[in-house]
Amino acid sequence: MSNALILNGSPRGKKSSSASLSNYLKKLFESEGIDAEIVLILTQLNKEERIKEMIEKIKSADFVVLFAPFYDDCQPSIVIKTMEIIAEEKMNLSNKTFIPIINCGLPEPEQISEGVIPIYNRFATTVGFKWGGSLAIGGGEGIQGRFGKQLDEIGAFAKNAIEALNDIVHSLVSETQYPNVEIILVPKIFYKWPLANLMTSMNSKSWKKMAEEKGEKVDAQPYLEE
Amino acid sequence: MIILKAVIFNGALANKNQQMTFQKIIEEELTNIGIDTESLIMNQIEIKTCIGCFKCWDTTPGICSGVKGDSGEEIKKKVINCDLLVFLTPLTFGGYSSELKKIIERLLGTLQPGVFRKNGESHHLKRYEKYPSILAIATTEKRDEKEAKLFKNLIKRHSLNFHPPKHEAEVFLVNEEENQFRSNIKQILAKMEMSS
Repeated sequence: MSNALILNGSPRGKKSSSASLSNYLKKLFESEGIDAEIVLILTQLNKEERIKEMIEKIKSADFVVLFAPFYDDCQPSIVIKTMEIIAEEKMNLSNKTFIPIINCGLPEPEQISEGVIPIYNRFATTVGFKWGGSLAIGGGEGIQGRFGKQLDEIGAFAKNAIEALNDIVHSLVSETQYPNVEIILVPKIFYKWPLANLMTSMNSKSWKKMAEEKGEKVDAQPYLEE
Repeated sequence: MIILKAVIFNGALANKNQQMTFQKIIEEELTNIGIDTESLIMNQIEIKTCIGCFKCWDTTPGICSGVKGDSGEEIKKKVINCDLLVFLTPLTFGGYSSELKKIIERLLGTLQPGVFRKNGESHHLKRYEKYPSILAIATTEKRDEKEAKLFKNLIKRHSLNFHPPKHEAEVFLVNEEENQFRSNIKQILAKMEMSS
């Protein structure tokens, strides 16, 4: 029986979009008879024995799927740390398929594809993983994982993500190559003129309101020296 | 005369090449053009990773109140008040090392949470009028054009979001001849028109 290791690389851990996506993918794998386990990178890096444990799980997996947010144009530092550890181990990974699934608060999945997917690809080819394709999710922050919501609890907003995860599992099971895919969770029309201006304005106002509710100014400039 | 300030983030990994020769040459060349320089070796400083709580946006704007007990805020203050930020990192699959990235992600609060649109892309708003220019230097054991291209692209993308007035990125071999490295740094600084 094949088995899949799902690495959740979100610094938010269990309350993250990556966690909601991970939980859903685990169920999909299991429905296909594939053993799947989720490992939280955040807690795994805390102790030397947990790092070793994560390495052992990678060694015994057939599929390694990494979920991570897009932070400052690339990977979160905990994910880079994991990549450095994997490279240092010099394992034989040639029979293991690696797929990164990256979500971004900003709506454009192109920012992910241009910024970090090639870095993940370089990592995979350098350490010897078989590249299994990738998924870039624009607007992934909207999955509301940070409030603990699951992918199948948020209705139509998650439709594209659910379809893409189904396609990924289908590709792995049928041993067909999954391509590098971009999806957007908010319909594209909202990010084209004239609705784009309205969306950006609403976004800015909602942050301003959140800060004001806490008695703060969203545009404060702390730490400036004269 | 206004004295410019520079901060060097040395992202060397603990127990690996500490990039000290490169750090020292960059310090010297910055001093030679009258720039006050401070170097921070990230693996020797307690910096916790960003936890994605957004408190630096919606609770204490500009200030990280989600992560406590480290030097993140002190370093952010240095960044806001400097003119040049130098990234010095081992090239890591075309990107930053984990040591460099952990401080970069703690700078999120230097931006505002709202977005503006440019060339069809959303980017976060400026919090401050002025941001430091960025000089990014990566070091690698084996020249790899693909990775060098990825690194330059990463700095270009970073600059779209962090508003440096000028940015330059270059990749050097770890055993680069010192005089050659020095000469290249001089040229890059001259191109950036950095001097006090």
